[in-house]
Amino acid sequence: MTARARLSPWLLLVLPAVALIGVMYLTPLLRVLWLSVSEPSLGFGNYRLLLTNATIQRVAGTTLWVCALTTILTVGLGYVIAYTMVHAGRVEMRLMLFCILLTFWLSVLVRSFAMLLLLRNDGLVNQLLLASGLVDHPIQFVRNATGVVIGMVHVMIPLAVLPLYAALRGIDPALMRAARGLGCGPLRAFAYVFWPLSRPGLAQACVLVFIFSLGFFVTPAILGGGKVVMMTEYIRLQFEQTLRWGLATMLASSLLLAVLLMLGLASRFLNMRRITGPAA
Amino acid sequence: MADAFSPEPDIGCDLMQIAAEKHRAGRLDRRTLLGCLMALGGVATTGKASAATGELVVVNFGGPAVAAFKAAFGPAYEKLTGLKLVIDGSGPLASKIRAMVQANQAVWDVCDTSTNSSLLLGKAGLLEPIDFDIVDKSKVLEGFALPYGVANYTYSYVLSYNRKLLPAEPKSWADFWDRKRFPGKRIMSKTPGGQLEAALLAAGVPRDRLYPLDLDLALRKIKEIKDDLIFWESGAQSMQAFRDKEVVMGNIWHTRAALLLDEMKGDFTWTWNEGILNASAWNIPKGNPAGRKAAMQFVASTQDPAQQAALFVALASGPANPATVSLIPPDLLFRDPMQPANRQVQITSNPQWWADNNDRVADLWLDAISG
Repeated sequence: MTARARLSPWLLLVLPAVALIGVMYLTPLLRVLWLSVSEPSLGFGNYRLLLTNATIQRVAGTTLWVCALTTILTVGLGYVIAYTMVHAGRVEMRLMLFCILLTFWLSVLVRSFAMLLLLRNDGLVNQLLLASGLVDHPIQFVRNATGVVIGMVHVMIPLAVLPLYAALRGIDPALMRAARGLGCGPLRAFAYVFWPLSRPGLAQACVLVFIFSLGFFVTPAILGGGKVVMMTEYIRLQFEQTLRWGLATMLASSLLLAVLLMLGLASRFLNMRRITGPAA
Repeated sequence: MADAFSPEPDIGCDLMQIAAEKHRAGRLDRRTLLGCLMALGGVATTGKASAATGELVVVNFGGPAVAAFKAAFGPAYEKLTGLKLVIDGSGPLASKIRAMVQANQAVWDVCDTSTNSSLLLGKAGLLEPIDFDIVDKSKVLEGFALPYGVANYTYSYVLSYNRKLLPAEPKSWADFWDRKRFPGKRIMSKTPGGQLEAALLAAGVPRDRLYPLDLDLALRKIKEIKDDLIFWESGAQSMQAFRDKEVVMGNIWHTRAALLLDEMKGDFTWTWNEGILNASAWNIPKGNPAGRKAAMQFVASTQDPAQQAALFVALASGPANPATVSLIPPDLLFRDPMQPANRQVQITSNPQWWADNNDRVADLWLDAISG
């Protein structure tokens, strides 16, 4: 009771910030939701397009499979990196962490352009491959779906490694020793002890990477060569070029809803607080 | 993600940000900052006050076009009306125009947009109809004096190519589609204007019977060479693809082709044959701060051939007034899409068809180039 009485005046100081966020964030969001059911006419006509418009379905399909592939590759690679980090020496671990954080801090735009320079037909990678005689034609790494996935995996890696590292470090190494002591080979010890214990962390990383992948815009635009159109870009097109704001806001709202739904489902089965923080 | 991305990065905006940052760091005093912002047109975006201060705000997509517009159109208009002409380079996206007009907060008087945006915004009731008592219809490329937009300059989608990388000179869109004779990647625009026409000409549709465009046929032709296509989103991207030798041919704006001509010397050129001539448009947001009349007077003032020739020399953007052809300097004749020799081999776009079919084409085009 006394604690409450002491806290409340300080809480008042937070109010302006809360009000500001309410006005600056919720108002536009509500307007977006409202536009999606009021333009061009009142009702759920825009949402019906999700079921009837073939282009929207194809763009949604592209978005889903690109994000799913990105998630699988990112989390797979991230698992290997995190596993190595957990078992590496102090210095090596710090070096690895530094490298991963370094890419995390670089702008997505810079990283996508760098990828383009490295991977295009006369880029460094193809020059090396050609010079070494491994291939006789440059491999088309970018300006297609391959390029988009490579670029997205690269951007997403830290987001998979960091939570996975936290999860894998929480597994008691004594358990592995016990398994070995009881006659398991290294592979069986991994399969029966380490792997099951790491699965919740793996699932969390999947949810996190998948959700962030849905919002990608720059990477597909630069590395896709115009041929990989994902939801965010389609929304922009409707917003700018056709001025169908009802359609654009419907897609934006649907994306938001899908993410919330995914988070809701995930939190039923996983301890999402561990990765999103208690505020979520 | 921290993923803000402008499709047309613009240097005018960037310069303003640099000035503002210097001010914050205390390296620029307030007066100098305001001077900078004024020079860059940034102050005009601060509110409706501009009308009271005797200004007319014209907005374009920035870069060198800010200074070029000011130099070409400023003196005559300022003398005529006494209003100061301010060029704002922050980019008149159709969505921005819609948002500001609907919020009753128009801060731009005249916008430099596509004819397509003008027709769409006009249909939605967001623009002032052009007053053809003040603006002279006869001084505009035929077909481009529209109810809500008037051509301000012309541009053409031309078949451009790197001579060094091809066995012969491609002469038509049929050559562009001929991957046996002209192997290599091609670049096309990510928006369908000028691209569908090229596909149909390649398919052998007679040039006088292009419109209404046969969408099925055009998209089939696009898919036919899709493996060898990449798509440009900004003029700068189209140039970069040629610089990097990523492509051997392209369907790009002649304004960008002209820059490449200077840059790549003899390696690069284009053909006017079957170029798709198009125009950009002036339009006027409803409730513009300086008032309808001042804006119409500006549009009329820019129809003067001498001003259009000045803009052409600065930016290679073709004149919209056909009478300008005689004022082009002889060494630049090849770059002018409106010169009779160049114009007669091009086809002229039909903006009304594009506006009428905008939504449908946008979806079908996207389906064809992606997936």
